[in-house]
Amino acid sequence: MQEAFEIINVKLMESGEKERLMELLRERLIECGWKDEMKSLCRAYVKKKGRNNVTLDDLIYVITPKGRASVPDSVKAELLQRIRSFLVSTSL
Amino acid sequence: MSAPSEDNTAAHAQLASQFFGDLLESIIVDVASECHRIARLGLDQNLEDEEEELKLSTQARVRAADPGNSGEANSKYVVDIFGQTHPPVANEVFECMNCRRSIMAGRFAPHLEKCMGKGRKASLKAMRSSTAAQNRHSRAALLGYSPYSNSNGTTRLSNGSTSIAGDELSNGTCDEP
Amino acid sequence: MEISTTPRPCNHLADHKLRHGGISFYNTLHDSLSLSFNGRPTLALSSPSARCFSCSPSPHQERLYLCLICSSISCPRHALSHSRSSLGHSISVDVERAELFCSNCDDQVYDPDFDSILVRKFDGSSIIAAGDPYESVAERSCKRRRLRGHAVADLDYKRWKHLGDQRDKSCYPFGLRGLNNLGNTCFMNSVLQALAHAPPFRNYFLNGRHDRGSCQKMSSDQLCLICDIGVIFSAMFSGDRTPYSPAPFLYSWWQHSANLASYEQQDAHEFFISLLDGIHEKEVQSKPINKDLRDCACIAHRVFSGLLRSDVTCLTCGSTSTTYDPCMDISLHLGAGKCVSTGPVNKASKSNGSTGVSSLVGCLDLFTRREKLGSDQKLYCQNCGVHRDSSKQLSIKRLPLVLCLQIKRFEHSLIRKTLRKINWHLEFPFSLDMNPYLSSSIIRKRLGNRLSPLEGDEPHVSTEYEIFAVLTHTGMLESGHYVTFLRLGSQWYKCDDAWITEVDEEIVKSSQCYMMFYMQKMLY
Repeated sequence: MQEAFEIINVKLMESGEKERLMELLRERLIECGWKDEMKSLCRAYVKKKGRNNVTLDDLIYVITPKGRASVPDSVKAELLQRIRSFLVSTSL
Repeated sequence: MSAPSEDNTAAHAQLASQFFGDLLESIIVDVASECHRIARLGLDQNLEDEEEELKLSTQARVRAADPGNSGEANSKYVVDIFGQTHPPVANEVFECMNCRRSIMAGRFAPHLEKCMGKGRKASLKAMRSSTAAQNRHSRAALLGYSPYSNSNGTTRLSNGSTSIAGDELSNGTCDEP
Repeated sequence: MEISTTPRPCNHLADHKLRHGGISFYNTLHDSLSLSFNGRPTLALSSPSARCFSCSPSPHQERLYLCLICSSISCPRHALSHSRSSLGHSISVDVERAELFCSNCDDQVYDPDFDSILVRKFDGSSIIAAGDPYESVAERSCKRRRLRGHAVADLDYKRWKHLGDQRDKSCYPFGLRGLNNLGNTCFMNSVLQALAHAPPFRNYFLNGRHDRGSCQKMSSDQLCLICDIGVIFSAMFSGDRTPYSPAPFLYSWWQHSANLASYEQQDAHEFFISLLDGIHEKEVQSKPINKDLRDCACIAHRVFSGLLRSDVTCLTCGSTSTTYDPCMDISLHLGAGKCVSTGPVNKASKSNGSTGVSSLVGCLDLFTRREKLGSDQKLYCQNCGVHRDSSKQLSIKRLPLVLCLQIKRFEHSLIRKTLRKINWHLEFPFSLDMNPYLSSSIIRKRLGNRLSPLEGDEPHVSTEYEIFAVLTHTGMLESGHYVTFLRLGSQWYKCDDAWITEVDEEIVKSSQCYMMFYMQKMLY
């Protein structure tokens, strides 16, 4: 499985599809307010800790659980559908 | 080349969800990285002000919705800040620049339209406003009346005078006082 | 509240730069810096399947760091072990995000030199400004804070008020005078009230910059829109407080614009635009001034004209073409049905459908957001030589002295082919900083908020604005009423045709604003 994943990962990158998927997901997450929500989580944390006492890892740690949980189902479904069609088209 | 099978579908679903997870993790790092830069370099100076404005605005709406606080609305049309009162339809009388007849201010526009022989259905000129032009809806307008007009387009004077906009004979003119 | 400071520089990074020849420390990176098709800077690696050298078997990593000394690639965990095993290899760069990382600090770090290299590479038009770009932003915001703390001297207003006191014993600001409704002419009155209190515009007329006497001699048709406006403004500032009937103006306005002449409800924004248009045409006619709208010297353009920048990016090759267009105002979508604002306060009050809330700042964000053009709008890409899917982003290249913002309070229904008025409340600030919407800021944000030499692009432009007039529309789409709120000194006044009343700022904040007039703070 890991091997298949790696092969497809390279195919996704080489075809430029990975970047397009990333862009699509970014767009959708902005539209639904997900990004704003993540940013306000970060802002609240920075406010609490002080802007010089916050590391990148802290921020990733702060927003990851909520970030994973709050992606709308419709967005997730759309992305999964597109990834699956790519998999079918590469016949893997 | 393998034909799609149940096995394949299941594998695809698993792979797809793994890829989706990866994309999401990457975007989470993007956001964190962006916020980190903003925090460290102090690029969010405006934000606190914005939040403050929002709070004030929300408070204002709440207060304005409170019927006990509508003093402004009640004093409307009674007296202005200079201590003056005005009739609902402006009654200043002046000479029409076109036909030289005496006319009352509040009835000047409907009079002038007929006096100048302009058509009501005149089409509006295309406006030179580049941002408005980017708007794809052709007619983008909010129309405003005097609050004293009723729906059929006639204007009645409050004192019971029978002058009507559509009346060609009276034509909104009146005798010099 | 924390006050922004220049970021604490990372000592390890400073030390490395010292030992490796300053800015040339980044030389190895210059060629591999590239833009992804959405315009975000990244590092182009020779192999797309690059991964951490030390992880085995290598799982996928969402962050990869390229060592600036030996170009080895590590995941965040192995970046630390790499710097321990190879002494001095502590500074690396995030491959996907083009951000610096120090494994001694175990954090993302920032260096103005690095940002400058990146911005210079991707924005050829920028001019290099001297000095520390970080400091300039920190200083700017400090300055702004100081300014905000003090009452702003309103010299203009005091002067007017003083004059007013001489002519009129009442203590009300000079120029405050009601306008009679001539029959559905509140759209006109509301715009005239705002224009009469736009200082640079008003002063032109009151200071006799346009001489009525000589104008009438020159003009054959005896019609001059500029003279007509002069007459109204003189009447409003005469000290007389009885309502004025702008009948001569309406008469000549209808003669000027035959196609607008009808006793009908009209849109205040359309009137505003066509009035400025008329002024422009008249001035171009009477004076041999530049016909190019971009730097037209007519009073309408001098006061209201800004320059919009539009960047169209090919979604295939990433190349961008830029165009500039003059604009007399900015029309903003309320963002029908979509969340447009960022504040958490707003989120809470937004969910209730048609009575939703937006913010002006959110509308401006939406206006300057990169927008993907539909597949029916493929544009010709010079680089690819074919029509391609593109994205478009607007920004403001040059701000006007007086900024007019119109809110599109209408919604087009494709099904019923009708327009519907949006009665949403819109939160708007009395003080507005337009800096985030300038082209320089928008491009900087596109490059990941890199502080750039673009700061030096428009050196003396003030981006801070103060509100002085708000036009509101109440009622239905087809029939309604326009009222103007004026802010003179620190007091708000409601101009409802003949009636002028004092109002609390709460009333203004909760009003259904349609057009907002802001002037540059230095004029206020």
